[in-house]
Amino acid sequence: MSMRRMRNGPARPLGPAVTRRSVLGQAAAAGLIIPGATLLGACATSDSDDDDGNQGDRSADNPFGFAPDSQVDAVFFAGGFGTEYPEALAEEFATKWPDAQVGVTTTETIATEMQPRFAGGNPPDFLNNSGDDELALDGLVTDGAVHPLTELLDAPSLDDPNTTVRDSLLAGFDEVGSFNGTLYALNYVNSTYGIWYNAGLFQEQGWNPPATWSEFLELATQMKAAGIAPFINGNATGLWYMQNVLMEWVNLEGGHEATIAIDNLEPDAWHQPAVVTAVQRLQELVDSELVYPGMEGLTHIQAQQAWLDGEAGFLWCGTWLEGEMSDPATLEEHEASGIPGDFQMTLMAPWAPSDNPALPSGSVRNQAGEPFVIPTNGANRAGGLELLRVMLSKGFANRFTELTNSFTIVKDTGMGVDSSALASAAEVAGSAPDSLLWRWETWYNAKMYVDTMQPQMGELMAGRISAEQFLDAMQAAADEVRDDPEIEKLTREA
Amino acid sequence: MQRGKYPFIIGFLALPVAVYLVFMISPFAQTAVYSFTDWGARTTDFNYIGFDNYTRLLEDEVFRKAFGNSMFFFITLPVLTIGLALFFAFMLNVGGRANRAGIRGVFGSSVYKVIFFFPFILSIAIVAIVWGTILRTDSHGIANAILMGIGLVDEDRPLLFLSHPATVKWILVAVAVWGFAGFFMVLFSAGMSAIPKDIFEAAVLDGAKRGQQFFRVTLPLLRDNISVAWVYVGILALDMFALVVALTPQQGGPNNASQVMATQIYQTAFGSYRPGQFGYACAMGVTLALFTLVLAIIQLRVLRRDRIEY
Repeated sequence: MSMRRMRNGPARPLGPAVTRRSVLGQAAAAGLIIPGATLLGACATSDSDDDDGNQGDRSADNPFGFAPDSQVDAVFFAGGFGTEYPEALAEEFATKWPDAQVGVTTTETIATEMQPRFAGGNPPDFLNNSGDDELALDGLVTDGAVHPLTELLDAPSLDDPNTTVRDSLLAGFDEVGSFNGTLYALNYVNSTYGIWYNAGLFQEQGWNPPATWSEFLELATQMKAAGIAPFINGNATGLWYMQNVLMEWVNLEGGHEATIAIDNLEPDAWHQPAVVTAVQRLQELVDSELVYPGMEGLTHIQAQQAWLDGEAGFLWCGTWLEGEMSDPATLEEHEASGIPGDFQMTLMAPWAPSDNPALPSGSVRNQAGEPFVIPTNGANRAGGLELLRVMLSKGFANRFTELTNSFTIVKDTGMGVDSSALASAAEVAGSAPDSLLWRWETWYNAKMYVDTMQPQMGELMAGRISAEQFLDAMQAAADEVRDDPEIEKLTREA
Repeated sequence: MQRGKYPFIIGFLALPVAVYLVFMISPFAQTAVYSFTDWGARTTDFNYIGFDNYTRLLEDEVFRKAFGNSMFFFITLPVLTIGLALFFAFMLNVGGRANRAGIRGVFGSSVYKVIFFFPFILSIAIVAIVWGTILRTDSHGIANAILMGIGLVDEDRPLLFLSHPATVKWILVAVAVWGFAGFFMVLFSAGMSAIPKDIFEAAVLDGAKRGQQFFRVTLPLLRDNISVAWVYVGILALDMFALVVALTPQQGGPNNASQVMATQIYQTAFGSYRPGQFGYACAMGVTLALFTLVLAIIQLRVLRRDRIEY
């Protein structure tokens, strides 16, 4: 037998076997696997450009120097106001700037989609920062991510070059969205908050909207006898609404001093008599079984639908209620059937938690809502500002009210709406003797609302904690915020 | 080919390994780096703050609660899921009556296999809607309506299921077991069919009852499969993000009763403004990852046995 080498090699390799470990070892030796440190060079925080790429010339007609043929990237929240008005806005913009292109995107999850863009340095030019998943505005302001809107407010309004934008808006529009006197978020929609009921049902039963606590208790007994739960709130998703109910009662009962003390984090502010009374009333609602059984696990839409179906008498909400319960997308998602034909949605000012409140009956909270911001690092910041200026024109404001059944902050708009909900809201807002207001919930949202009031309110409304425990928890949270040097403190006089 | 083997293999592996490094390893490394900063993820500025985030984590009460809940799921979920999956796999493959020749499952086992596997393929959105409708907390919820009809539940006091801190975790466990048991049943069925039927026949001939067959024949032969499945379910249990977000109120249950580490990370990173929130969330993420790694290693060591040849 010749000792020639076998052509195919022996059955098992004579050297070490080829395994995963050996291949990767070879590759590492060959320098194909780059050490992690250099990969970090392609990290998330790369420097972003800081120039205004689309800057044109400024003029009276074009106060921000918007390049007339550029693109504007606008992102809107797809919520209670629907998705028709963004398209209408793009159309309105095109009548003034026919060569521009407005890219309209709507989404239900603003932070999920926009946070990566902010973090990567390419945010949109115009952002409707709203909804459950909105970006925290105080964070955006503190980090310099949003542009101050002073130049927008000082610019001439679209309808009348002799009036500035600021003067064309209702008084108090900048109460929300301002930090240290500078406006960062323009809240476009003027909402009135309060208690809603079915005027038709009340007429039928001979009931009157209550103004004091004893009137409410009397009415509640009659409602229970008729098989209707006096109060409902969807506590799975709508605990923020209960926060409003509570704070409205505190403001009514204790006057503005009470809410100012809470906002300014004064010691023992949460143990003021007015606050104690208000929380005890909430406990009373639960203990006396004046609430809809099982509302702890309902979403706010489910609760609103149960109220529309006549299973509950009173509900807290804002003027978006009618639009929300008529929006087909919302109804389909929550399997709700919408507003019955004979339902007369009517707004009333909240009743007081006692029989002699500090503020007069009929006082309500008017709140500008639905914030719009202009990111600092948007590619076409001037375009974003111009789009917002067009949005604040009377023409578009009327169109907005037509499409969404909501009022805007633009003066002299929104007349002649055809709905009992809005008509009653306009009447309540117009005849209100005083305005209810508190700020702590937006100023210290993370620690005081999200971490403390929201879970504790859920427990209180389920009857698992008492009023004292609730108040102690809120006071502890307020003390923690006061003692934390990293949280910026704000105060107000009135 | 002998000489050119390594370059050849490396050539093919380069691209997948590069993809793995960029999309899997690099984000982990970046998270570890950011956990030592106070980044807020709204702009590109941040400062290095050393171990501050980790010391803050040790004092965080809510994170401790989330950790406790994650451990609860880690202990209950594998036991119940794998137990149920083994039982189903056994009954549907081997547990049939011994009155006919051959080893087969109970009557109708092919139908049962489809029914048990079906929940696994449902998307989380459908799971949320289905269970949300069944477990709705007022008299319109299916479960409450039935129980009220029978008279077990008072009309004015409907059961709160997912909205009560005492029951929410157990309901999440039940939904998770309902969803995952089918998949692991199929896994164990495959494992069982790899076992030669002669062994089972021999046991049956020797007079073994169903229980003895299961504990003395099937279980030892499936030990490898079970240990791998245990690690998988353990990792699923330490996650639980989808179920908690989809089913529980405020995505963490009434008053953080169903908060888990995964949801805590998400809410810290992307929720209300807290100074340095993204860096803090990265620290939580690193903690969770290290913990999962350590648990997986321990499990694989403890459950390891010699390979069984058959």
